[in-house]
Amino acid sequence: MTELLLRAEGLVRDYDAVGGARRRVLHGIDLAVAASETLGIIGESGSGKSTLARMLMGLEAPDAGRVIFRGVDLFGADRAARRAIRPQIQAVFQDPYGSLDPRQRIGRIVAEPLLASGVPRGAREARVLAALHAVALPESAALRYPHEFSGGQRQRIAIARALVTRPALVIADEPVSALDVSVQAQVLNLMLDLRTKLGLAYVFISHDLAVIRHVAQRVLVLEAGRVVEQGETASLLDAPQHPFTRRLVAAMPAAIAEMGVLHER
Amino acid sequence: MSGAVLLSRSFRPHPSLLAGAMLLALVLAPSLLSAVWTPWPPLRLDIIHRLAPPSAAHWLGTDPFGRDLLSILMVGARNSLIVGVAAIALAVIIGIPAGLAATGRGIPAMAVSRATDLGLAFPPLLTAAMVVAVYGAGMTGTILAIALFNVPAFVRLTRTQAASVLSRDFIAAARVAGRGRAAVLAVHVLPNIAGTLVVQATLALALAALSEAGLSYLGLGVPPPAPSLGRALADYQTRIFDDPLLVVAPGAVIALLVLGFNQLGDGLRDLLDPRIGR
Amino acid sequence: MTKLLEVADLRVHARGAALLDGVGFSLEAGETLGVVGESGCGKSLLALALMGLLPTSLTASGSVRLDGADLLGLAERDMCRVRGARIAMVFQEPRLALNPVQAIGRQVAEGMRLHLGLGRATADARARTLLDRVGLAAVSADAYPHMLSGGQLQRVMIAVALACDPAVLIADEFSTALDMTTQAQIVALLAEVAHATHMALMLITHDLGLVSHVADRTMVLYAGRVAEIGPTRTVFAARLHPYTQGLFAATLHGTRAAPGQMLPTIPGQVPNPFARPAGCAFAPRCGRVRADCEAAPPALEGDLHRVACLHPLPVA
Repeated sequence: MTELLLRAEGLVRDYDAVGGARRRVLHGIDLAVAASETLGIIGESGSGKSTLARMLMGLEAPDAGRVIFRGVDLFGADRAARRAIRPQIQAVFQDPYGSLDPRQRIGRIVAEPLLASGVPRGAREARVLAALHAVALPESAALRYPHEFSGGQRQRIAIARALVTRPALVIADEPVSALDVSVQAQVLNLMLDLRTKLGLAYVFISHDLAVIRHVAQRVLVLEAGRVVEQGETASLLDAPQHPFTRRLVAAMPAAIAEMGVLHER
Repeated sequence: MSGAVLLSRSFRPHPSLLAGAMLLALVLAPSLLSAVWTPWPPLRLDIIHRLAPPSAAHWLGTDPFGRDLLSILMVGARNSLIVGVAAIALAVIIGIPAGLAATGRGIPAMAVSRATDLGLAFPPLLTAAMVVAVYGAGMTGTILAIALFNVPAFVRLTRTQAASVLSRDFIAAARVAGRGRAAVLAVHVLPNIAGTLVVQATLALALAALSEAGLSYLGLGVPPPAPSLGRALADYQTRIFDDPLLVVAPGAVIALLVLGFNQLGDGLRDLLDPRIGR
Repeated sequence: MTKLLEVADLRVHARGAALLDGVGFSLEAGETLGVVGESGCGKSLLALALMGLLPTSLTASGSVRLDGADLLGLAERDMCRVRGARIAMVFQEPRLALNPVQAIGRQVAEGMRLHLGLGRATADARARTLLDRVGLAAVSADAYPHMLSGGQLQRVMIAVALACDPAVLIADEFSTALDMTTQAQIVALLAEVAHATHMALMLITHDLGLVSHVADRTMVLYAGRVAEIGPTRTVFAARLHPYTQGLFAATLHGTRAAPGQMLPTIPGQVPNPFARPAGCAFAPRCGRVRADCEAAPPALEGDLHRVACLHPLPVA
């Protein structure tokens, strides 16, 4: 029986909208992630997926509901307990240009999760180099600055940073959406490879169903702050039940190799 | 596209930066020198040679009491610089941490914000006059006065700049890495807003020099007999038609200081801004 | 028969590097050309060069002819008359391309008043018609951009671009910022309008799926040069240039790669424009490279379907 890593129960979030009214962004979300599993979350803009991502990362507290990781309530437990599990949940963000501090060298950026958890210096350096190696970047990268790297390379750096504490779970919020096609493939391959090698679990959030289909074993469909459908990726995509899921599946471009050109005059 | 845009910036030394640096050097050099040497002791009276035109002995002539104008200006400029730099340094030391604290969500943050709004509501010269009235005229009083009305500006600038940096993903990444709020502010926010703050401080120095001159002119600044540019203007203004140099010279020094700091600030702003961000 | 738009040997330089290095193609009225490429290929610069909107630090050379008249040599004042009236452009981020403090009806009308000299009432009426045409019948012309969604704003941008009936419309990464369900609709709208008005459409994108749906011809750009160009059907089927083949293979939408399996990727990355290899720009990454590939950049060879490669993939 695989261990249940993350459990979210009844997550609710409200925002103060313009004009004084309160707008409900999440209407009671439940989800669960087991060890070494990849859970995909698909939603469009306004679905609340970014807010959900931040909650699972432990950055934003829900107005109601809980996020439990290995028995520890991310927002309710005492400081020591939260500190102890912090290294086990890490994150990768969408924007390769905004997720690295432009003023810091790569070595320092990748080492940051280790700094906060009190790992001594010698061990830190070794782990940073190991992480860079795992994402196929040279050791010399540690001395350089973010602006010297391309978008795809920066995402690798972000992934190295997420791995350096050897987490059990990585929350990836649209990690390849801002990348070129061929670079997307490289980064996705990397993430799949690491999954196999390190037994990582992912929560993979995306608006692109083709990407979700490629990486996630189970998927959650989010519309306007509600889970409208969930299940095993393959069966959900073959036979979508909810109208919104159907629309998403229909909007997935069919394989180009199969169809040649659809355009008719 | 961003690649092409980056390429379009050229890397010549910025003209404003050079101009500002040169103008300031023009004033800075003599004023620093005045700490160890002036052509004549600035307070030395020499009634026989009062109101003398420029000569080999007195490069800018003498004032109604026979004091050497150049020496007065050198020491006066030094005083202006001391007051300006000390006041802005004080404003920065208080203002920047307060601004960072104001980005929080608790009561202290709100208190700082409200206090800043209150401070910004007062006209600067009025604040200065009040401080001097309470504290008494003199260098310390002037420094405190100028620092006080600069603090709210720095708080507000720091807060808005910090808020915009705090919304970026690398801040979220730092928090996911386990950094506490204070560490995030010190390690990630401050270095990324430092450029803007330096520019603001430089421009504030220009205004501080002007404020010192203004306060002295009104009699609220450094008290006599200490040389002061502003008070020189006040003292000599009645003679503007008979001995114009007495008024033009201090005015020109003030103008050089202000212009120099402004140009320096502009040059720094253009130099530093493009580096921040992508 | 002269083509509507003819570009020959277009180069864009920046301090010694050629960001666009000899791009040539043509466009006929009513035709849709898909321009495909990744970061660093120069596709956005191409759009700006055609519109005369390059930053002043970049210089363009070569020839761009619209209906026979050269555009590159035009003075700015004359170019202003062409922009909006004869060539129009829509951008990726509608929230940045539209004026946030001006009502959408006014923004659509602005071009008409400027280029066609229409009076306010006439322009506003035509703006209303255009907004209806792009599917915004339910939206008031007095609405401001912040009241509309991304998809609706893109429709407004199309209306703005169409206002003066341009001969050529350039869409630069036009649907990238939109949700998947909206992308298809908006691009279909654009293609349909172009077809109906016999307008030439240049669709710049990295999305091969989009191109396959609407483009008559496709041009693949790599490192500032044309790698392959031809009718979409044949380019997609043959994929002669190794880069085109690599791009297709790496696209999730282009393969039925089994979930969880490694995708074929192109090793390495796009070269820095300042450090391009002497010969073919793709040579360092190419699986079919030979000695002669590194000697000089290959020229575009072929008739309707052209490819710039000394050892293109054999036609299957």
